[in-house]
Amino acid sequence: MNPPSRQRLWRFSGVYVGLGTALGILTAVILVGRSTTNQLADSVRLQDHAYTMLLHMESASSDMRGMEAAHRGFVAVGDSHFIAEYAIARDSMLSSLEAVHQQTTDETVRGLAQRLQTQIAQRLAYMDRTRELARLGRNEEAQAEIRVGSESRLRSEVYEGFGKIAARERQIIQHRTAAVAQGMRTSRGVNAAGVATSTVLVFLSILLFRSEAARRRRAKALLESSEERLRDFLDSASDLIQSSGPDGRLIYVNRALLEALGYEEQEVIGLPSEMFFAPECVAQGHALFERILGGESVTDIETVYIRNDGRRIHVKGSSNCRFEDGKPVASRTILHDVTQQREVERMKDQFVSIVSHELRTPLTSIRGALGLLSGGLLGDVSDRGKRMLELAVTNTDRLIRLINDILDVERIESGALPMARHRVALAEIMRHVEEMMRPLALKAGINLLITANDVDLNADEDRIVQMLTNLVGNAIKFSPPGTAVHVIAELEADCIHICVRDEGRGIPAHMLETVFARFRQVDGSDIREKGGTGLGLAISKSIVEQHNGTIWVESKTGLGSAFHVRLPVMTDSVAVKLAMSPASNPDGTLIMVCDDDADVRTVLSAILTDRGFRVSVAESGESALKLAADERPSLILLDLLDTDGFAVVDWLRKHNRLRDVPIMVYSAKDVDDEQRERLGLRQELIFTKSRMAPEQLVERVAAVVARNMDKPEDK
Amino acid sequence: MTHRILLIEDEDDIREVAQASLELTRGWDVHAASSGAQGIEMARALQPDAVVLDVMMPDMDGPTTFTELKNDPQTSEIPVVFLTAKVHSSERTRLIDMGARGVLAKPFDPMTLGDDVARLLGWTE
Repeated sequence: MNPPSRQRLWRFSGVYVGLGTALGILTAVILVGRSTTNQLADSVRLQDHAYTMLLHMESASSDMRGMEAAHRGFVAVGDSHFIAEYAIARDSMLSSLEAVHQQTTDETVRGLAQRLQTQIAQRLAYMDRTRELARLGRNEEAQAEIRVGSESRLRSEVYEGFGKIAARERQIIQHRTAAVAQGMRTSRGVNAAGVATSTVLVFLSILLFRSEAARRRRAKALLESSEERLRDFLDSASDLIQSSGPDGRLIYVNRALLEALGYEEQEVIGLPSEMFFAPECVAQGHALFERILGGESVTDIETVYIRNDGRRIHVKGSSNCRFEDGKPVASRTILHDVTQQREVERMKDQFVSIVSHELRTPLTSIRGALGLLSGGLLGDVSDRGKRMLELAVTNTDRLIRLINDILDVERIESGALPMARHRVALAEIMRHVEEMMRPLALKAGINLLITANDVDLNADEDRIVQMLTNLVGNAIKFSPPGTAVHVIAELEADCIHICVRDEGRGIPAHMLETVFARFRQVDGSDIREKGGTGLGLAISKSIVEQHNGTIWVESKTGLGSAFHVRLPVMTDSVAVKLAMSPASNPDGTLIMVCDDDADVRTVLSAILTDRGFRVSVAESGESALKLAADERPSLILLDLLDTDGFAVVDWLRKHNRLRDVPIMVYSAKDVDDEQRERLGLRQELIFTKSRMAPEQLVERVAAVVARNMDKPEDK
Repeated sequence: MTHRILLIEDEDDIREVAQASLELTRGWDVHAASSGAQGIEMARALQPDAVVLDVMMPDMDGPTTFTELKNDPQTSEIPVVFLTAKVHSSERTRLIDMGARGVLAKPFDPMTLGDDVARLLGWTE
């Protein structure tokens, strides 16, 4: 994880921790507040209760005194009015006492109240007895009874009981008051703590928010300045840079591209990028855009843009698309203006063409005149004169080779000489090489040993032959007489490895790397002595590379050199070639292949050649007739060429010398019965391409030719 | 048998050398024209056994001359061998495809030029 995102994570956790803490504190404050309020309410209720109990006690005590006064009044006066007062005070007192006994929550008070009730009951019994004596007129006895100490003691015990209960209730009130005060203090404390913490948290949040806002401002400023810098950077680039949205509309065009096309920025932004393409390249532009929207990175763009003033510029470059969450966001295209380069290339091609003609023309005359003179066709020349003429011919030939090689190397390396690749049998190439090199080897006293391999290459036959003759020619030139030059072709998976090995003087180690560069012969004098141009290996390397192959050299001074070439083969040819045993056909019977499909012609030619046949090919009915008349082939292998083939067959049938040449039809379409009748051919001589592989067809050809050989030839 | 050859070549020096080569090495009866137009006229008049035709010529080039010869019933049967400084196989193929009997490269070896022409035309004597 990079530092900025770690910092951001820290900020995030800070905010969450702060929020969590604040919520926790708030919950705690609410809980503590609730609990404190409950406690306060309880305390107040208990206080109220205690006050009620105290009032009951005071009322009971007061009623007791009223009751005593009424009691004494009755005993003294005997007025029944006092009895009624006594009863009211007594009932009120008993009711208050009962209320205290019933309602109190304090066990001590309940115990005291219970005991007081018992004492009051004793006192009431005593007072009832005294009042009874008085009611019976025995006032003296009643007075005496009132003065008895026991009654007096009981009375003070009752008042003492009242006092004790009141004192206890007062104590409770005092206790509750203290609890309420404590509760209030706690509540205030909690509130104060909550307010303080919240304040701190609010303060911290503000700080964090401010710092985050500042950070965002800084990031935005940074982004803006980096965007500005990037834009400045892109605008100062000499490459042509543009970007479009997924809808193909331009979102950025750099200064160089605007200048190259002669537009102002506001004239192009938001418009479809196809406005830049030359009319004939718009479709190409659309296809390109589709490819990059599909996620492809296209690196080989070559197209034509059109300037605001209508002039055309050639551009080359690459393009791809930026994706976000799998969706295309913007194309990124970087191009270079290659108009000038194109012009230079065109001029170079023109130059090469002019040189090709202008240098060859005088050389043709010189070479011709010298050749006629040295050939003795224009009269006798002295021996020394002949020697001079031979020297002139040799050097003219060298000059011609040099011009050819320079033109070749220029054209091949610049791609101006495209390789005309088609299916070609390696054996055929080797045969050409042998034909061309055998005389040179004989002259130099070198034993040339060539081992071919039965595979097909997708190659430019002439160029591969040129490359191999270069290598073999070098090997012969640098080998002492009496030694051998081996050319060995071995199949390696899907490649053919060709090795040209000599027993010559070899190449010093320090030259192995540079031997393929232009004009890098091992010994400077070789160019003169060996008649080389110093370009052969450079051309060979270019040819091999144009065929997606590799070339390298292994050598030790004094022990000879081995030039290795590895070229891809046509894999479908490998199994077929290995399976087939080439039947030799020493007579070189001529087979004519007439087909408008170049590939079919090439494949059939290669296979027929491998089987030892000579082959002539015709691509149309007309050329087939001409060739057949000239060459009288032993068999004609004919495509129907839609309907042209019927005319060919008719014509052959009418021709005196050709009417007996066997014809085999190898048609793209099935031939129906009616067509077969028109052709006048037996079913076993008509084949459909999709049903019969070329190799099988050639087997049939060989069989028909063999059968025909046995018959006397119709002259 | 002495064959009659028409050589069409705009370069005087080359024409002279080629004519000498064909006459001296093969003993052919060689007539020379310095332009395509002149060559066509001479072909009609002389009815040569073969035409040796330069490819790059001003005014009327070799292929145009060739087409004219092939389109004229009087000259259409005369076989033509091209002589060219362009050595590409594609150029060679193009000329063969047009119906030329062969293509020979310039500069040529005057000692073998006649043999090469004879080989391409299938003249074995």
